[in-house]
Amino acid sequence: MRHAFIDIYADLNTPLHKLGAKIKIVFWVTFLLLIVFSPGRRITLFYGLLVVLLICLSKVPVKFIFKRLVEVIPFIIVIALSALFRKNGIALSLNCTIKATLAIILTLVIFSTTKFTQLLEALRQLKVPNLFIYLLSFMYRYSFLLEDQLLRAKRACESRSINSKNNFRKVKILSNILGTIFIRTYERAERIHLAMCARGYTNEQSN
Amino acid sequence: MNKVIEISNLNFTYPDGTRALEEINLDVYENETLGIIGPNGAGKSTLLLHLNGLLNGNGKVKIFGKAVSKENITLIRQKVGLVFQDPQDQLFMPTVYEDVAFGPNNLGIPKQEIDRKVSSALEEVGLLDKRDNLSYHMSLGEQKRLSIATVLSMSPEILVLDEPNSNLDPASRRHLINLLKSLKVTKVLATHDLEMVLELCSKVVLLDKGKVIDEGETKEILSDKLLLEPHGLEIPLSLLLNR
Repeated sequence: MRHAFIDIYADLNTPLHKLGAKIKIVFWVTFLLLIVFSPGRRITLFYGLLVVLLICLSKVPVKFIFKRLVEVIPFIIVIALSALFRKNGIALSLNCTIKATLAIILTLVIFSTTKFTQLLEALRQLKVPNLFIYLLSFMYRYSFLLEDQLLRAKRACESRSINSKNNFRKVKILSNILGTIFIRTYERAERIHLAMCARGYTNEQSN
Repeated sequence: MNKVIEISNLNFTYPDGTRALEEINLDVYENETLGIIGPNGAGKSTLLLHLNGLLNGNGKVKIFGKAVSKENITLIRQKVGLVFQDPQDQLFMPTVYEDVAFGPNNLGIPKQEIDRKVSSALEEVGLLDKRDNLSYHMSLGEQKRLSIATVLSMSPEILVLDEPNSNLDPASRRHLINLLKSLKVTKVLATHDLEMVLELCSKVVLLDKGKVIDEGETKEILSDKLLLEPHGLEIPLSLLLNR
């Protein structure tokens, strides 16, 4: 099974893709801060236009960005709702929502045009602590495996459940699958740690 | 010949009380290929984990005459290359290059030297052109060979392999066996593939329920029906046919 849901649009050929990962990270952080601290609506609107321009440049489908955005929106809503109870609530809440949405779209555009492995290399060059890079790289490496495991468990379950319309039972089965996968993942983590140690890894390493 | 691995009176009990190894005594000599055979759950993998200090049971394990201890653990892990059964455990870095460079990186080798070591290890297993690939997207046969490359890059003198060819298709299995033949180091293989043992190993140790049942010359052990069958193994077909 082959999926590359993280890097689907990282192989396109646009100026944005050709830009070095290090430059993109620096640009991303700067632009992010600019958006967050933008003092007035007009400037925010200008930044918004810039982000739209970036999307056009990147050739990443708007649908893809929108889909990913929807996954994050609940978090934004929670923050926007809690802002309502402060002074100037409505304006503040609106401000939060717009800025957060822009920031997320920006992040999506930047990181869907960069290969994850290049990103890790760039972070290494930017002197991000090794432990953090290991965590990110393991997350990336094992996300494929986890997706496969889920898919296989789901298939195995479907092939043995005929016409089950009982929703309560479905939830129960799903929670069983998740539990099993959690335990397997935990045991795998132990084995990976052994495999790391076998190749000379010690916990003190930080360079 | 020099003894490279010496194990005497080794006992190991897992925290849950399972006795995994009982009074193991075993010597491995330089440049020989030893097969450790036995049914599932015999303690083969547990024994292998002792060879580079990942588990520490009661008893003595000496590698090149040095007891496995905290002080010389780095040296021992460089000399003993342990390859895990499941490539998904062995290959934990995203790209092929990073995985093969992981060991040398931990040994504190300069960067240019690491590049050279990675290239020669990948060349040895025939994967030099896959250097920048993601290991997850490779075939199982390639993953198994890559797993071996990840320890070859540390220039080990003993290669310890846990089920090196489990689940491989015949062509990949053959490729792997030829690769193992070409590597001129001391090898310890734990496996149920007795045909492979017959082809590669000069000596065999039969392990069951954590104990050494018998050891000796490969053909002698593998053609002894009365010895093998009570321990979940059977005489390899090629030996039966040649009788």
